[in-house]
Amino acid sequence: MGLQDDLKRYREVGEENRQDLKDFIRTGEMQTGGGIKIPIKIISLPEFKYNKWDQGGIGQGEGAEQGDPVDAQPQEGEEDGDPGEDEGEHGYYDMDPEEFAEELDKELNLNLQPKGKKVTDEIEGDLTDLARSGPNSTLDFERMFKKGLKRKLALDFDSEYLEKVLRVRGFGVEKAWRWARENNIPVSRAQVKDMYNSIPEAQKTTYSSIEDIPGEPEITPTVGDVDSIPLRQQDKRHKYPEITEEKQKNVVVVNIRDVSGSMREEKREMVERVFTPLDWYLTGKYDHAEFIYIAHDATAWEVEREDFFGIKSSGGTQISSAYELAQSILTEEYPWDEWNRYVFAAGDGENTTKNSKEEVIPLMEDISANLHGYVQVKPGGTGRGDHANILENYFGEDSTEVAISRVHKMDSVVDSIQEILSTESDTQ
Amino acid sequence: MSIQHKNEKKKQKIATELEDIVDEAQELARTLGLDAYPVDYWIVDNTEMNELIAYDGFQTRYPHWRWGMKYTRQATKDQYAGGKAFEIVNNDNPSSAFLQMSNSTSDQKAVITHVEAHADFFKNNRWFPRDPQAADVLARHARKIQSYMDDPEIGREEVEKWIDHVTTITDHIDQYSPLQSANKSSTTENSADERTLDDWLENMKMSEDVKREVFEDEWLEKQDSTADETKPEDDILAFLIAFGKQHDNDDSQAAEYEPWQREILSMLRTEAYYFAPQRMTKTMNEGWASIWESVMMTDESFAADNEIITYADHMSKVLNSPGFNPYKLGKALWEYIENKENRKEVVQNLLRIDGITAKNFHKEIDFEYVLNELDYDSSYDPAKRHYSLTRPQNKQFLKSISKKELNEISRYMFETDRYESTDEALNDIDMQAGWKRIFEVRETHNDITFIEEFLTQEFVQSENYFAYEYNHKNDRMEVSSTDVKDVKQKLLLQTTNFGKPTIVAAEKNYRNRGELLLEHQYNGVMLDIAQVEKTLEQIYELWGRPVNLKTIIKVSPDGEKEEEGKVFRYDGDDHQERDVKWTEVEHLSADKVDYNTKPDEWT
Repeated sequence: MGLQDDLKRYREVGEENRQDLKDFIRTGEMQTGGGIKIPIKIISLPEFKYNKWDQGGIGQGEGAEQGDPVDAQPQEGEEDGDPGEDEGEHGYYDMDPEEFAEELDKELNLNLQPKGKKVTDEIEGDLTDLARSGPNSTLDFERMFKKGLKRKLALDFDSEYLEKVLRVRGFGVEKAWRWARENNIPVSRAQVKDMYNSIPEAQKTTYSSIEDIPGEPEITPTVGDVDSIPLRQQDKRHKYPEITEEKQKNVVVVNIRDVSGSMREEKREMVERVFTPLDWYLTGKYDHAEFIYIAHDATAWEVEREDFFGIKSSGGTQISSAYELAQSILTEEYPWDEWNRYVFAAGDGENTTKNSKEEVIPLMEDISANLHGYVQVKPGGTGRGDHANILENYFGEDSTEVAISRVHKMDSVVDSIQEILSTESDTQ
Repeated sequence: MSIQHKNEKKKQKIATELEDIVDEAQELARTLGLDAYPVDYWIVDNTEMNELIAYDGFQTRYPHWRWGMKYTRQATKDQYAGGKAFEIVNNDNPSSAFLQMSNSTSDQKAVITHVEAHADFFKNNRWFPRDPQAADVLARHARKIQSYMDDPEIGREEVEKWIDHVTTITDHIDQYSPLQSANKSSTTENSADERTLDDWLENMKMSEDVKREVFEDEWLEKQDSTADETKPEDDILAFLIAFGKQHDNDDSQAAEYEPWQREILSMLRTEAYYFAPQRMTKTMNEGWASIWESVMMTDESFAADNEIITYADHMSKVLNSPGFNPYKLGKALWEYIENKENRKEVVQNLLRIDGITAKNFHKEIDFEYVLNELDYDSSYDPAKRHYSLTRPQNKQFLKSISKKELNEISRYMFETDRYESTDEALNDIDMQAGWKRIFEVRETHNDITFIEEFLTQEFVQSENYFAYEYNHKNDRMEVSSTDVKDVKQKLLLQTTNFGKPTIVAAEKNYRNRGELLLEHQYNGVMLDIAQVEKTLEQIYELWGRPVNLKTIIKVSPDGEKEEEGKVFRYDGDDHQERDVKWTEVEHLSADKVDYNTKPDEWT
């Protein structure tokens, strides 16, 4: 019971009942000043209520006269938090960009792999690297001591007796070595082999069994005095941490938009519904995302995100101006060896052929990026704009570096997003 | 040391600091004539405040994810819209009031005075049951519902769904029962002070069928058994408890409710009745609290000199929030009532001065002199020192009495007993007239009667209220009228039945097929049809058989709006609607009460 339970349940219900992302992208509120808020469908409880057009209301204002227009004012019950009021309103499921990207991958069958570029950290791992030299503080003393100990024990065995063992009929290297070990003689196979090889062939069967060997092996006592352990220079090892290079997955997304006179409301909305989810998606996929917003008509200028979708100008169009600006910003602040880059442009395709062919295309080729995209919005499919065709003719329909997408009705914004995000090949 | 612990220490510190202030405020309230329930004050942080608001002012409510949703919305509103809640107080004895840790001392003072006035309202307004023991009742419900959720045979999801079905109609209870039961109680052995919530509910006026099913026989024997069998039932929840069934998916037959389903229906009905008085007196209550807060903070100098500016800021935030604001309307209307009563008292006496008549009143009376004589700003008597007519903003009020009202007053006066001089007349004035009136009104009225009785053309004009409607021709909302009749209608539309249309349960065996018939008591404003369909789907789950709603809608063939009868039906699979003859819906039509204020020219 209690708030924590109720919040947990709300999130579960919200997740089950939220609008699917395709619907949300087509019809939902894109501007939320930060969070992604997916409306949860069928969550508001119905009730018997008045038809709001028939209901009317009351307001306050000096000099009001019949017929004066009124901004519908929020009526009683809508602006309060007082006890006793049941607000059966729409809920929202808050999604962070990571979840958004995951869910969009599922819904649209995408699989974009973010790449690491900029080396941010040399991360120190375990102390597993060994070097022969180094400062005293890094000396692996334990190792050196063990080695010395082995040395000492190895030197102190009764090699004479062992040589006799090797002269027993049937005792080859293997058997002899095993015998040595059983008797706590710390000798290596290699040593035994060497000794065996240095015995003349005839003498290898001097004794018929071990018991025939005169005398006893001299068992030396275990190491008595630590000082007598030979510590050799050649046994010194110094420990260093294993260094792994961590590459941060950075991305910079350039959004370019034609804001000239011809880009009216519906076109503007189409662009918003394609670009905003792309921004969210990339934010979710990459560790660190930055955004550049460029508006252009015949010239280009950089703007803030809040203003990007609302700007209108009345000028003509020259798409290359935007790419020039993009190029200069990217070159200066986002080097290709450190940043993943996406450069998306949108408009209604209107641009002089000359500009598209001779200015835009070379610029696009010049600006290295994971992906270039052009979204051409033409409600109803009519209109003069030809920029998309020109790009397509040049780069090819199957290009994996330039995604070209056409949007002719609001419903196709999701298809556009899918096209763009499926273009990039994994082999880049 | 955890954050929780840290906060506890800070809260304790604030609580200690405020102890003296609370004592002072309570003492001051008493001297002014307020008679409040004892109030327990608690200090809470921002999160806890949002939580309390989400849960309607109580710490323990039945589990349901909608509280989570409400909390999320509240927290967002708080964070982004700057809709900070200063305080919350609940209706119980003792009342609990929660103050935000982050309030400045000046804010805390304002809040405390405001709370004390609320506690006085809860105690004295007769629409509220005495001693509701609300916290206990709500906690009991919470535990019970939790146990159903823990029951493996039922489970949380089923319970939440059932609660949702019921919640769609919890607004449709009998709003007037509380008063009728109050009337009843005062004539029987049960004195008002001994009424608990349960007793109070039992006294509800209901059709006999329903009572028989819902309540025990022995109680029924006490009742008057001449109730009309076919009377439509306002209390839809009670009707359902008596006659509803659940829909059994496997069987496609209606089945009796499970005990837990019946229990939940009953508990939610109790809760709806508990919260109803608060919702029905919101405007009055908020206005009342605002008045006394202002009197205490400014006139009584409860706010220190250096706190006054903060207070003015606080007040302006509260009173100027956009849209229709119950605090504003309530406060203004209370002040008007007080002024009007005082004015009547003064005028009555002045009209009895030798030589003064209604006709020469405005010419002969020296209003400045009168107001001067009535100015007792340092009197020990609070009524005198707070006398409304002499306050700077009210100085024109006396003079502005209309000819009509003058005539009315003089018409009902006795001719004998005249005063020889103005001074004599003034000395005989009951300075407490206005005050007494408002104390009376806070006992007897609810928002509906408050607005109905006291809203006048004078008030509407001086406060610049207007009614607005959607003008179909121009496709926008427009001012429809500044006439008191229309403004009143619009206000009443929002306050009657919690601003929801009145729906009653009319028949339990409609068309002889065990179908439910609900009827909409049409008042000139039609229903939202999309919502009707969705709501019927929910009610279907509570009835187990097809459900119908009869209403009147407006259609506009050729641009002329006409009214027509309709029945909407849901049978578990499909929605149907059919036209019905006018004779079938005539009894529902808006002849007595019409909230439609659209000018004819607009259609």
